Amino acid sequence: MLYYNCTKRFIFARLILIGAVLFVNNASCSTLSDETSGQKNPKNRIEQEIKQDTLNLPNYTRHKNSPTVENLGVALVLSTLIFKKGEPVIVHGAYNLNQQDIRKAEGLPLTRIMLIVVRRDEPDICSHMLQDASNINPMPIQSAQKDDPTYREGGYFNVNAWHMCEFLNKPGKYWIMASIGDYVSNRIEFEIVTK
Amino acid sequence: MPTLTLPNYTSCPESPSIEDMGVQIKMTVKSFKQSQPVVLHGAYKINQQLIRRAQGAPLTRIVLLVVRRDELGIWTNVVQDGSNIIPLYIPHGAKDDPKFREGGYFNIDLKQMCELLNQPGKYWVMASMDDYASDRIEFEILTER
Repeated sequence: MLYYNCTKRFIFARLILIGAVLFVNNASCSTLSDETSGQKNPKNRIEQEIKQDTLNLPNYTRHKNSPTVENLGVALVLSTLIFKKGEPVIVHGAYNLNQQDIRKAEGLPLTRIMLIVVRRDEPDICSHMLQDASNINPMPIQSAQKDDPTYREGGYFNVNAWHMCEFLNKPGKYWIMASIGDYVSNRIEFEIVTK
Repeated sequence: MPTLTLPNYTSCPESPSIEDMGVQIKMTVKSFKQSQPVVLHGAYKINQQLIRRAQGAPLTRIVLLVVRRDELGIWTNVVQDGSNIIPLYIPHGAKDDPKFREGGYFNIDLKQMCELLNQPGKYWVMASMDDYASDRIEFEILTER
């Protein structure tokens, strides 16, 4: 009887042990596959980030990829240099202006920043203002006071260039730059490739 | 002094030079009166692959951009319109000589091409050809007194 009881307990204990081993094994397999799928498919992560960015475009807030402008001017950065056809062409930009420039822009610098996209492999070009000024009331700027030469006013923009330049739905080689007043940004070459 | 007939596509003392490949522009004067021509001198140098892509007519692939700096305005056009030019036959198959270069020049009155320049103001101009872009030149057009 005692032997029978011990055997029963022993079998039961072994079953519990096997169950525990199986449980732990299963848990580590799923963790491994998550890590592996992340490593094997970084594309998913990038696509998710792009999707996240696209949902909120255009926007005019600082982004982690926003360029910096040291003194005065405008600068651009692209989310990548090779885009697939149909993918958003995300442009991150920043500007820094003095009081005279702000006044010339009637307090609305984004309505004076022009994005210029030139196709490199065919002669074609597109240009578009970042923001349309037609429905915006310009802010009154008091010009009587003397300008402070150290004053700077800056801002950011994150746009999908595709929305502004329809020809970006064609695979090809392009470059982009921004212009405002006397300033131009860096010129960036990029490509749109077939999926 | 003989008047320069514009446009023309020959080298002149004011033509810019290009070291290897690309396109470049030059203006000897940066301020023009309203009645004066806005003379732009340019040069290009390309390889066989680009000549083929341009169908033997490189000037039809050089895009000029003129942007107004003090107001909103932009104008673009190619140096030469390709619609009436018969493309040269360029045989395929032969291997490109990586050292081969073909160059050319252009001297134009930007005001003849770009109506934007009829107004006094501040502008900049640059040229773009395939993977190459020229320097950007700022200039202004002054009110006639």
